[in-house]
Amino acid sequence: MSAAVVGAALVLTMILTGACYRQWRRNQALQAQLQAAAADLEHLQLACSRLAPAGVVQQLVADGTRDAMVAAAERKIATALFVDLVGFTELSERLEPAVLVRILNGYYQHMSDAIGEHRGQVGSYIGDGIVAYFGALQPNPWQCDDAVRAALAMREAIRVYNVELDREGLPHLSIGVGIHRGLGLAGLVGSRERKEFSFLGSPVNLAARVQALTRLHQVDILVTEALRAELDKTILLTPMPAEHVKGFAEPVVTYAVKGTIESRPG
Amino acid sequence: MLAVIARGLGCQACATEIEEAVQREGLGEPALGQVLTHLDAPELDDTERVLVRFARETIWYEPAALQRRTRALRDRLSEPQLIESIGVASLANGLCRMGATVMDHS
Repeated sequence: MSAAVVGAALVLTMILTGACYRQWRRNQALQAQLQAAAADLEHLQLACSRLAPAGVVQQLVADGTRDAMVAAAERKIATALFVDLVGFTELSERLEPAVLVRILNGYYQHMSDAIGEHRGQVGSYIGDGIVAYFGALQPNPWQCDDAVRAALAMREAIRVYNVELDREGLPHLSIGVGIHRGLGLAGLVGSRERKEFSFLGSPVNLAARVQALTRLHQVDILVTEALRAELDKTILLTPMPAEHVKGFAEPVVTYAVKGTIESRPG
Repeated sequence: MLAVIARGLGCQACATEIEEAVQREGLGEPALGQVLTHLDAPELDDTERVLVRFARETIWYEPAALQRRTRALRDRLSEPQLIESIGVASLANGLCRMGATVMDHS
């Protein structure tokens, strides 16, 4: 009787041990799969972050890619910033392609850093120009101040970059920045194969036109009246003469940004 | 910090409640308006200014920026103050997100 009980217990133990071992192996395999999937996801996020702002990628993941293509578009008030290199065509004719690309990459990096640091998103690179948006991806009640502070950071970044270029005997860069705020369409646009986050409409067009006015007014940063009305009073502005610009019936009043009267921590 | 986060998240109900409370604490309407519109006001001291900007950074969770601001905060606050600030920011985000969600569905 006792031998039969011991035998049965042994068999039961062996069965349980076998089941536990199989489960342990299954868990190990699942854990390995999970780790591999996490590593793949990390690589994918890293790759995506080079193609689109991190916020866009996160929103795509959060919304689900199928729905996000349609649902992510909405009308909203956002601020568009347009920055362009002054005298780039002349520069591009003078410099070797490899040197030119290196200078350009440094310029893109410095400008993108300034934009990102002030909660803007780089929309796209257009030749030597960069279009950036503030408050287009996520609601941002401080978008006007952010955009102007980003432009001031760009001014400082170019000054520092020019010191670096000077050491290498390379020509100095200068920029023109135009900023405007208004209602536009924010969302993912493009073909089925390739989409990008964009902010479309007259705010972007006017920001580009205002950027072109920096040459005329011989200043580096210009903002429109719509933006001025929302700005922190510690940002110093100088009014410029109103000018007609292509595509807009009324003359555009702009203000040159001189700097800020603050120098506070934080 | 609560008022800034409420404004950033668009929770009008939270903003109204908090603004009234802040005014009862002695911050006048013009100064509060200035803080909420531009994240700054002459009435703020340096620590308050840093806290206001930190609060804003916590709204849209972007790890790199948030870590940078938190490190900057660490240089200015004692450890208990830092922990309290992070706790307040966390609670404020939770409260205002719930508030915004409730308002969206009501």
